[in-house]
Amino acid sequence: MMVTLMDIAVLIKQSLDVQELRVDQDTGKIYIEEAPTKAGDIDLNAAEEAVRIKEKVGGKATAIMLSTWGASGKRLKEAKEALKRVLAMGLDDAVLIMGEEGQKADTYVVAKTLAEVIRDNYQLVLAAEGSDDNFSGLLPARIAAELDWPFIAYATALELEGEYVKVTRSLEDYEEIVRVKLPAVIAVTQEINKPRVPKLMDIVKAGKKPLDQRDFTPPSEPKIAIRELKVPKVERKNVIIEGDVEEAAEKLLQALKEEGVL
Amino acid sequence: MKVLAYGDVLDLALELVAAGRGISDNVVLLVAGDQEEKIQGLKGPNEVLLCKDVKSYDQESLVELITSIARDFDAILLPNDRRGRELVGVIAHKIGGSAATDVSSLRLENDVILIERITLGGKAIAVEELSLPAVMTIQKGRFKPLEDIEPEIREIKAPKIERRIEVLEKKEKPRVGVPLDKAEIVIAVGRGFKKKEDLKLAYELAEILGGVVGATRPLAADLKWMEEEVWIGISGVRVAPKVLVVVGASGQQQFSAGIMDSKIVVAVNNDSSAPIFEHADYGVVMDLYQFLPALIKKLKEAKGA
Amino acid sequence: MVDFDIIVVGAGPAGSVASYLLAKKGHTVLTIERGKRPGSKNMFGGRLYAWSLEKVFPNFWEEAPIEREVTREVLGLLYGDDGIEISLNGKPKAKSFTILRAKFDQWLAEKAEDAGAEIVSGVKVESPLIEDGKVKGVIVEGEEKIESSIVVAADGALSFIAEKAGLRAKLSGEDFAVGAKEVIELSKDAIEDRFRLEENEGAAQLYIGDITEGVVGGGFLYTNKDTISLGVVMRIGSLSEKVSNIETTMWNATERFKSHPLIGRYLKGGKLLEYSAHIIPETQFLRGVKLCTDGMVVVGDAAGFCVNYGLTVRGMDFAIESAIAAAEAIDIALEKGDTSASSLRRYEEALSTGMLREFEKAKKAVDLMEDQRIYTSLPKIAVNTARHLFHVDGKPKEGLYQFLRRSMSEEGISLLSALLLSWKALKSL
Ligand SMILES: Cc1cc2nc3c(=O)[nH]c(=O)nc-3n(C[C@H](O)[C@H](O)[C@H](O)COP(=O)(O)OP(=O)(O)OC[C@H]3O[C@@H](n4cnc5c(N)ncnc54)[C@H](O)[C@@H]3O)c2cc1C
Ligand SMILES: Cc1cc2nc3c(=O)[nH]c(=O)nc-3n(C[C@H](O)[C@H](O)[C@H](O)COP(=O)(O)OP(=O)(O)OC[C@H]3O[C@@H](n4cnc5c(N)ncnc54)[C@H](O)[C@@H]3O)c2cc1C
Repeated sequence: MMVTLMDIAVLIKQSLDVQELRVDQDTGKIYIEEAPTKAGDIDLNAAEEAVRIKEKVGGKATAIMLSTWGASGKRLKEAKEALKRVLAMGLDDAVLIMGEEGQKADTYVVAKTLAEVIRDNYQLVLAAEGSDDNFSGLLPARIAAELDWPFIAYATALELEGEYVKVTRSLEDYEEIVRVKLPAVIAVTQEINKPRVPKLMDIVKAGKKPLDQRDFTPPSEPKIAIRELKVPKVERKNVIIEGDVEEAAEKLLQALKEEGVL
Repeated sequence: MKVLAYGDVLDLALELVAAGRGISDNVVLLVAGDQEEKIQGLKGPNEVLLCKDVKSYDQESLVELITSIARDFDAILLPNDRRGRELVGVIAHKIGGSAATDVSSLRLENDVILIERITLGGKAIAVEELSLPAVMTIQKGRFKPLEDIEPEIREIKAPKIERRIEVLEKKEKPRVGVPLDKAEIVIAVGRGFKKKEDLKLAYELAEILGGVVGATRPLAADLKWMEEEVWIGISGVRVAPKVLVVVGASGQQQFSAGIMDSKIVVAVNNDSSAPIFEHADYGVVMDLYQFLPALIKKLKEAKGA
Repeated sequence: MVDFDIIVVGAGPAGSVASYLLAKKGHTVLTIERGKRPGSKNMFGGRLYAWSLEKVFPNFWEEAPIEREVTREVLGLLYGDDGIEISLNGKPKAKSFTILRAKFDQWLAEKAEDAGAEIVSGVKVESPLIEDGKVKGVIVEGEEKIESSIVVAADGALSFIAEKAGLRAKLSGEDFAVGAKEVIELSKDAIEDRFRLEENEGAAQLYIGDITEGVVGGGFLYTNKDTISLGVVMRIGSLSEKVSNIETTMWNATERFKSHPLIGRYLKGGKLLEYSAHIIPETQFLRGVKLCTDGMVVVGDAAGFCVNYGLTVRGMDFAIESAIAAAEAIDIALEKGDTSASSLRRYEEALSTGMLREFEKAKKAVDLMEDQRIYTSLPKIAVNTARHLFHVDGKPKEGLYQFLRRSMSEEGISLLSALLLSWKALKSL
């Protein structure tokens, strides 16, 4: 298959909005169904980076999402919303893979599926260092391994040089500038850029960009099963200290003394 | 059941060995690079594999090295830092294994490894069944190094690799070694501080209380007002002090996941609807620029008296 | 070429209903909502009168995320630890429902979307786009201009859009009320048991008494499916008061209300899910609002169609009714190709023969409720009188008449004015 100069796949996860997720410490119930989903925060950084590359060297960028929330109408709508968001930022089109079986898929299964979408069609895969809800960062690494493409994580800067990409990656002990020949898979950090806020008319137009929705059939069995989700017990007193500045300082110190921690 | 542990920092690697012991009597430690001297007299693993010709910072070679010996092992344990996390997915996939990050406990059950890890932005703990072979990164500070076994040391050769990642430049990061994860008193600062210089309020408070200063991710990683090693949260350090004073941080879930083990949490924020107050024992809804000086003054008076 | 026939600012009930009706007529509609999602920012007591929405969606309750149909009305008078509750039970023909706005507004917005309206959330409209004295569209965050033939200002009580278009004066912050509300989780069974309700039936309970410590206002309580919406409305004073003090006042009043034995019993074992406090602009004093100008109409709270009864607020039904009238006028105006104020005036005319009458009546009731003694003396005398009637301790009792006279003179009220007050209170509640 012929590909244009630079085709980028941006992985967008339909992530649970953990800020709005409700958990009940007493009953241990986690209200996952009730919580909304959205595009992962750092996915937006990946999308932004793709748009910047496009602006420099041209080519096309596709948002790719495998939704693992089943096939309910609500989740489908949210998935499309999330994709619309990155399309509005400037990605060209989107692939949404979704199906009932998605709920059991682990990163192994998702990577196998997405690798087939990516292989032969894209030269660069951009992803987030981790997702809002699970923060494992495993998916892009697995996709790279499945495709046998080099993988670089924790990218804080990217620059395209012909068929090479120069990446600054930030590890705990060193900051390195590395160069790889494309194709490659790169996971970016939240600090790599500031995702643009799309214009309203871009959001409207994003609704009309091509969205290729496909059914999900798992290519293999998962390697992981989630047996249980537990709610960690953290008891906080939630006391608000009142009064003016002086009083509040005094009361706080008193409280800490009574706690026996000062 | 045979476990391989690898970590570039030896202290951490020994925690991994201890973690491995929970599921196996045979834990092998892989040591890369120039560390022959350091491993003399080291205790804990059943065996040490020393590969001198792979540098401990050479991620690409490490993938190949670990993958090349992986078939002998049922589980591979790596540290849960960026180096470990960059390796774990690639290695797992290459050997057709399961993978997990940020693992806080593990045990063997029939032919799966049962692990616990924090998920949903810190709001839940997932109990996951990992099929074998399994590759995982282990949370720091969860396992105490063992000092029982004196291992044999065996040298191994590095596999030949075809390099695809060329390192053009390397800058060492300054490390100040703030003992955040062990500190008894921590002041955590966020974007509520308007300028870098203003952080001196936090440092002053920390000094009086005998604590250390940590930060939110944007303050450290984006604004770079502090070293990256001091950011607290799901992608940074977890703290467990007796008192944590969070100042000018909104308390988004990814930050708050890192403070769950604190005994007492105090929050200072001028927005009464900031989520940090849900994670706090004592909340002060005030401008930090007014409240911190008053608090510092009171503490000084108390000390003087 | 305009970008859209109509731009609707705000996806509250007024905005979504207008969007729905206009999209259904085949016009291109863009609805802009600043909240993360429609309804995510909207605070409200808990009860929707169905009469207006029914016209748009007959039997909407079969499909919409309503909580319960109100079949039980309770008026309570609280004094000290005691209280009197008067209840009216039955299924009225004119239905009303308890709802939770986050879900309900989203449903309404989806209706509009399904009808073809383009709804964009998370974007704030900064001002109307005005050229040659005519509204030509809107300007949103980032100074982006979007053009339309008509703008519908449905941006709620503080409507900056209507204000900037010169349709209403700046709200003066002299006198205002504040509402605080909690949502408390309780099992479905407990709710039906404690409030004596059948499945899907709900209670609407209003209380006056010393919980507001002499301030005009009171408490409300509505039953939802498995939560209770409860709160306090108080006419606190002026905006110059420190916000933190107001927050504390509201919090304390809510706590007093919740811990009154009569109320506490309903809530036992319940879990607090959310608390919020909100200013209720006294929009009924918003005289002289103009409802349209060239290229724009104002609907719902933005036009001041909201009544604060002292302890409850009512406006959703008016918001919807005004949106229906506006949509009709806009449709005709677009059809004629004339979007001038005079062409849009049909909206105002339609209202004046219909909804405005109902609205004026509602406002009258409010003026009566201004009498502060309704909130203080009346509950006290009533509760004390009931105590006097029902409590027996074996000692000789003062005659009822003497007792009443004495307690009223303590409150400085004559018998006649007490009777008048009670009558007023009952009439308006
Ligand atoms: C996958 C992922 C992982 C992440 N990992 C981490 C992590 O490990 N650690 C982390 O910290 N973040 C992490 N983040 C980012 C996180 O979501 C938040 O963006 C971040 O924690 C916010 O930092 P902040 O509280 O300093 O800034 P803000 O959210 O901007 O909060 C600043 C606060 O200061 C208050 N304030 C302002 N002025 C004053 C004043 N004068 N007095 C008092 N208060 C004032 C404000 O009310 C506000 O609440 C992660 C995000 C993602 C998506
Ligand atoms: C405490 C309280 C209790 C109440 N209880 C009841 C009750 O029990 N029953 C009842 O019928 N009524 C009640 N009301 C009144 C009712 O909430 C309103 O009358 C009703 O919501 C009006 O609908 P609306 O669509 O005109 O405005 P709103 O519901 O206020 O919707 C306006 C929308 O516009 C959006 N918006 C505002 N500005 C902008 C902008 N610049 N750009 C984009 N979007 C914007 C807002 O986010 C909002 O979604 C109560 C009100 C209060 C404050």
